[in-house]
Amino acid sequence: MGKLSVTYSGYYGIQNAAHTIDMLKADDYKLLMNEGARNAGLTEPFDLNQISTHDTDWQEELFQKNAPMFNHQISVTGGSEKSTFASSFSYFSQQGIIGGEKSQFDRITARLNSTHKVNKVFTFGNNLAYSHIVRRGIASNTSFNGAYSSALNIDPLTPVFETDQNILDQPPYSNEPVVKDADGNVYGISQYVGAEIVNPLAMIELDNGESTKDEIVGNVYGVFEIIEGLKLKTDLGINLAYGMNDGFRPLFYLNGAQNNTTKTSVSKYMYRVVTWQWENTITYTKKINDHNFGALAGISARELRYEDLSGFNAKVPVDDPDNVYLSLATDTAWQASGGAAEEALYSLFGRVTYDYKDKYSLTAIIRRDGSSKFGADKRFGIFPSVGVAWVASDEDFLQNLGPVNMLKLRASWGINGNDKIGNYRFATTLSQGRWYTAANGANLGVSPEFLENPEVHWEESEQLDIAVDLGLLNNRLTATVDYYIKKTNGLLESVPIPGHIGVGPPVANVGSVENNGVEFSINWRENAKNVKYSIGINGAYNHNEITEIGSPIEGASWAIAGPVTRVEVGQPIGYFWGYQSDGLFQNDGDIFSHINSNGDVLQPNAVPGDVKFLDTDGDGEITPADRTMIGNPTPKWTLGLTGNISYKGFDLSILVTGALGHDIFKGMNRVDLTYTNRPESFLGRWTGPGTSNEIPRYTWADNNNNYRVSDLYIESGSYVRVRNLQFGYNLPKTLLDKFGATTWRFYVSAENLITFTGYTGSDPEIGAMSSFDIGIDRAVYPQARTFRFGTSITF
Amino acid sequence: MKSKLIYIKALIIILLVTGCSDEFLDKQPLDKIVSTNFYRTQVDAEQALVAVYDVLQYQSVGAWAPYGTVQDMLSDDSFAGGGDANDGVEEDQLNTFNIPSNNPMVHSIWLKNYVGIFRANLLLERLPDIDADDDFKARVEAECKFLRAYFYFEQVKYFESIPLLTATIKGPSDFAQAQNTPKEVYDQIATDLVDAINVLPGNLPADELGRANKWASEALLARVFLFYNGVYGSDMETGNVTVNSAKALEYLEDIILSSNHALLSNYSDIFHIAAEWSEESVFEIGYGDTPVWWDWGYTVGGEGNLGSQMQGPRVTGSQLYDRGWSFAPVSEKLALDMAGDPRMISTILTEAELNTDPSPTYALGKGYQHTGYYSKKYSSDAEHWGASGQFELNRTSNYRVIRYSDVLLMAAELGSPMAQQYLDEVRTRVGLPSVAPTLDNIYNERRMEFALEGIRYFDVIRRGMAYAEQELTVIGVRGPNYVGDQQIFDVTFNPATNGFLPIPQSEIDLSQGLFKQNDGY
Repeated sequence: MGKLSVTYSGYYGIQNAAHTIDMLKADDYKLLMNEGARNAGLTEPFDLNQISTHDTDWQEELFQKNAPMFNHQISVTGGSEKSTFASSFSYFSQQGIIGGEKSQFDRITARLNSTHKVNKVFTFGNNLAYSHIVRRGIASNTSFNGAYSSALNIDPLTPVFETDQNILDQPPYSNEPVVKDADGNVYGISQYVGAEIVNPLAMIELDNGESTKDEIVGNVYGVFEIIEGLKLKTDLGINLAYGMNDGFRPLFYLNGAQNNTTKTSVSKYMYRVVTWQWENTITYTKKINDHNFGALAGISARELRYEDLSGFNAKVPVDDPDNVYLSLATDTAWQASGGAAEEALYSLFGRVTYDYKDKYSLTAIIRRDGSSKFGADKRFGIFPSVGVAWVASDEDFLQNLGPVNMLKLRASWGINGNDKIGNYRFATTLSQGRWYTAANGANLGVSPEFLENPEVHWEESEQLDIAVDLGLLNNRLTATVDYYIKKTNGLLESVPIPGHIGVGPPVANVGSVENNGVEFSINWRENAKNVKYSIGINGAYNHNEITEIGSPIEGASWAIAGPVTRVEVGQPIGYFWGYQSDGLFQNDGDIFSHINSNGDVLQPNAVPGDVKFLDTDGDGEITPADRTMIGNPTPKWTLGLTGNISYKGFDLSILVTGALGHDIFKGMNRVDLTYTNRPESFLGRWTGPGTSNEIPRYTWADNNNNYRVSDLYIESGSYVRVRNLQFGYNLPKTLLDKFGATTWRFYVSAENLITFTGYTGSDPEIGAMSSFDIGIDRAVYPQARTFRFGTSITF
Repeated sequence: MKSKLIYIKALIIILLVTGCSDEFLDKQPLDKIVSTNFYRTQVDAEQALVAVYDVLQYQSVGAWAPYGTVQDMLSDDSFAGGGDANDGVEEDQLNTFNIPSNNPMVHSIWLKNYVGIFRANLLLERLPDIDADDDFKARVEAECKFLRAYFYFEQVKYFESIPLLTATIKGPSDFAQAQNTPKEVYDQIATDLVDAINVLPGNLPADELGRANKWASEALLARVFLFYNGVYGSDMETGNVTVNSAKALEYLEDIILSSNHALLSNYSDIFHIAAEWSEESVFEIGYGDTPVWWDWGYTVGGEGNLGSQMQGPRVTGSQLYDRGWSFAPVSEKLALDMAGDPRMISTILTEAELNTDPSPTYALGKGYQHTGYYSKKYSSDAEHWGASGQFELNRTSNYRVIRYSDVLLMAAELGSPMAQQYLDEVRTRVGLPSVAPTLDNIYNERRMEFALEGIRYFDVIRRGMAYAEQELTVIGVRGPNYVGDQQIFDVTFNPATNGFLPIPQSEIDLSQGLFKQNDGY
């Protein structure tokens, strides 16, 4: 028996919202609403002399304090000369900073890997992993039905819980299934803000959805070394996943627009996905003097089969919303559906490598991939690539480079394929759900779901890289500079098509995009006797441009304003598209001097305090044709900084990241609705000449359409964030030996400690909802600031 | 060495076994039918035809925009309504004629009609290859043309400048289309309807009611003519027929003389389930609760009448009405105009009548622009509650598109020698005395007879912008039960638009510069 090693590692952390937005308090809110009504000629809704019963800070109420997260992992490794094994078990659990256990994620994983050398020729091994995941989630970044969106937009006058018995005796509390917490407290309902804005805590109380997934991933492989340098490998992998989603819709009344007052309902969705993959390769390596040759040929086949079943019924008597099953439902509305899908990928590939003394090296790869996602004529793609490298500093004639001890030049070119679309999009599938009711009852109708597109084919990315690696001062200072151009042709997307086509859009190869830029990194490393430290910075500059698109297409929509991003040749992908403003009209003179070449007033409906929009196309009118590029959601620069220092058993590390030169569409405040709350910065609105040139007057009758999509929504998204700071201590060996451990480490760490940004939303890292929906803040949750304490010990 | 040969043989076998890739990669949809296996049999053609009819009942391709509800909001008969000002923002834009080109309800209407047109065009293209007898195919073809004409008429009277497509669009090179002139669209509508008239049967057996027939085609063509002639002052041309007032009248007289259509004896019976597909109904759109519908995310898949849900009063705790959303509350102007007319009690549901509800738990919520009046013709009344499903999505009231009284009044308006008798027939049913068949009397009769049926707005528009401004601009009229500042009930019509809606902005944006916005927007 060989050496056995056991490691435990684990941590416990607490998470809090790193940043919230200061919203108006009750008094300012009432003042502002009165102003909005007054400016619209409507009756002021509030008597300012009356003291507000409630002044709710919804974010304070919404965010959990110290939401826990933890992880425990035990791993055991060991083996002999013939056999080795590694197995581990871990349990990870995390609650959300919104929703607590209503947005909990739990994962249990177990792994067992082993390898066995049977004889000189034959080796085999296997890997097996099991995971169990339970996920409960609260939707983020959504204008509709988002808890955070509601928290930012609901008025401060509504209480979290309504406790006034006189109010509770009135509708809707007296006659509707209002939402209560576990202790029977009744959630407050706003009298002012309705529609999609509700009491966010009541909304979370109703969130009962849960999804679970059990997955087994395993493979077995065998390697035969037939003659020296010639290896045959066969590898068979299986992935088996079972999952289910549970849904329960209780009776509830959040407001007049969002309620379910007659029937509870329950749904269940179960699926099974089986994937197998079989890969066979033959490799040959040969060394002749200083020449190293390598060759590989392989074949790989992968097939996936998916099946699902879902059921639904209504009228479920409920005691425990976490334990609701279809069989409990008593309605006659049984619904069931189920389907299946298959996909397959088949690849042939080959690779040759050559190097001479590691000084000159070459790698060439060619692969032919076939995907079932495409029609019979479009299935195969051929993807070559080639790379060369030259270690110039190994040349005899370049030995005196001063402090430079290593200089390497690299270049590569290659094409990659992408088939990440839904299945069967080359075929026209028909819906059998086109019912029509006539005197004879319901009749089943059939029509296509999408426009036919048998031409859909592989998306291809062609990339050229040229790079220099430098080592200086005996590699204490290293640096890399990499210039690249990446052209992606045949972008696979489903994009909006004109409505007069009358059927859903196909997935198509819609255009091309080019990215080019420079990436660099510089690292300094110093290993002194007791002190070791390293510091590194890396950065990337990227330029992104659409080089081909059939016609300009709409990207993403925001609230009810319609599209706010666009994809167009010569512009960055998904750029923000809207009106350009030029401050506010301070007085009537400003309005009457904003004219076209004929002297006509461009915005005759405007009054002082309204936004001045520009006639960018110069046609003498402010029309939708004046919408133009108002922002780019993709960072020009991304930056990173790492630092480590250790002294004896202590170590400290830091990670800083940042992104610069991009914009965010700040759309978490529903300025299109009346009575919605506003951030405190809104107090700086225009109230008279000279009071503001950025925030228009507040009115409920917005005849100038001040809140049309314009650059008023655009803010710089640049930020620099201390993503991680960790301080650790490793116990000295002398102490460890006393109880037989080999290492024992303690650490404390902070994630997302400080952020430097000018962005006034809750978090500058918005991310993308889809390819053309980037950087739109529809009330993104602020990222958590997490403090963790952890340890790991190995015996 | 021998053992090594075995390994090499094994490798060759592995490569061969996994080598037959074409079959391995050929994956076809398992749980759905595909177009290449469809459009073959008579049953396929029938199902494809049902899919065209299906679009008649679409009210929410995106935003909810039921035809009748939208039309009433545009007219002087109704306001926007809804739960609060935020609930009905898009509706209020329509009601007050401050309609931005990105109004989602406007887009919903535009999308709906082109879905119907696509399905009709597709079946017309596939029909020749279907294995069925010629009579069957001729009838399906004629029904497709009727439906295509129906969708085009709704589209062109809302939007005026629209692309006219009589074939499906096959690929990206044809995506961008130019707008056609109104005349081109109306001539195509006339051509399709004349073709339908020539082929379709007249009286239908009971189990076929709901399908387009000759009478529906004739009546629709007369309605199209009256609108086109009213707005543009000219006739419509098909290849060989000029549809002028004489021709339109001839079609109407054909219905009156030859069809089994007649007025029901009681006006108050019309909007009840017993009178669905009745002899009074010349064309009707079916709504129902089968299959029962739950899916809020795909409401066009269900069969319920969403207009009834939107227009119903905000009543709870009652056995008579349930939880409408109080959109399109009825105006004091209509109530005043109808005062004394016997049809008023079957047309307008009043707060006072609701308040007689015997249920002890009854409560009436007052929404935005509360007037105390609601539509009684399409509402959330108990008779039309669905048997199951999400109740808001399963209301069963059929939408009466063309009633026989409309045939009579159109014939009278077009100068039938029998005009007096036709007008009397409509008035006698509700116990009103005879009046002379002057245009003013006929127009007034239409207002009373068809109030809140999705007819008023276009009846006003077709009489010209001066009349529209006179009728649709309503300032300072306030009923006894109105709630809220008077300003939210004041409406000013914008004659610069000629009464048309804006072309949806996103369609202009996708048109590669070919679409031009309508005047006034």
